[in-house]
Amino acid sequence: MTQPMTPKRVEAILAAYGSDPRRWPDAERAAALALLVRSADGHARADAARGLDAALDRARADVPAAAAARVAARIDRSVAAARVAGWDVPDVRWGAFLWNATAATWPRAAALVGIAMLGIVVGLSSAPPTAATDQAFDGSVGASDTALLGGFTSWSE
Amino acid sequence: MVASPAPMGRRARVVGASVIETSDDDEKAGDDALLAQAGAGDQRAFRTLVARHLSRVLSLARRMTGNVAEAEDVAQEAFLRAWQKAAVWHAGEARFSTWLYRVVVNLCLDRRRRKPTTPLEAAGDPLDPAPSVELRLVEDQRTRIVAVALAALPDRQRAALVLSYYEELSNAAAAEILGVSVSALESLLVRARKALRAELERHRFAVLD
Repeated sequence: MTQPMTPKRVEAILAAYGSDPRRWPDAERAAALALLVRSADGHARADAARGLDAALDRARADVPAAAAARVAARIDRSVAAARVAGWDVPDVRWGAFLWNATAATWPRAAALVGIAMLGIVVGLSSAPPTAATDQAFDGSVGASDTALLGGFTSWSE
Repeated sequence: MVASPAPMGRRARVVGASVIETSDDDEKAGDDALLAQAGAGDQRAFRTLVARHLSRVLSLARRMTGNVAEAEDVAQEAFLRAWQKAAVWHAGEARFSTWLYRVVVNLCLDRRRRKPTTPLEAAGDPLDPAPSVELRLVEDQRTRIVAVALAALPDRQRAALVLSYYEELSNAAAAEILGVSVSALESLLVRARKALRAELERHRFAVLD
């Protein structure tokens, strides 16, 4: 149930979102505007917020198309490299990958590789592949997609 | 505290030579479909997904890190994770853009923690040409002051401000990305704007009406 709009809430909205009503919470916009137009103090606060918005807008800049294209190409290359390395399949085991690559050409060598890989697979099988990939990828725990589900990592101001 | 949907129900995006308009629902359904194809190894589908989100990811990362090169590294890393995630992505569980922005914010914060004194850069391209060189220099300087002030904000205040003000996400979306309530997001925004005003005034940057 929506609370009735109050001058204090209008002040809080201006303080948080600035002067542009398009940024205000949808469900409160109309009521906040209606109260604002009747309030001299509200006008003054809106003017102050507008000044800060104008300053923030100075730092607004679109990403150049050339930069985006360059990064897109880098992403393309890194994805292609990941596909070659077999990192795109979440259930891949390095042993299975090497086995398939080796067995077709050198069956005896494949047998030796298989024995070695069995040890590696046993060691890796305790960790979910995604978490291991994230940790191996950037070395930091928490800076991963799993943080979305478990809440954010601890913040410091 | 009331959560609001996105202020804009539709977005226009340039993909190649076309301008594509999508609603939030269309975008989510489209992202899920593209992810499913990418998860099956379709790199072309993944390129379309990248084209949809790259500009916003770069914009977010630039403002969070204050460094163009770092932002590009973050973007590359975030999308590589998305590629790896695609095969196990469950449509309907979460919005892909929310997941992606959270990864970007996390990566940026990790970099800030590792390199606390990130060199500051000008906030993008210069302003429109001014009638005189002197005026243009003054305007560029004011732009740099704002960029400095933004970079000086505590990490989560800056994240809240960037997501809400520059990326124009709804308060609900920004709060979800940061893993906080809408009320907590508003508190961050209030403190961020207050700190920013104080920093700008310290630089004698008049925040005029």
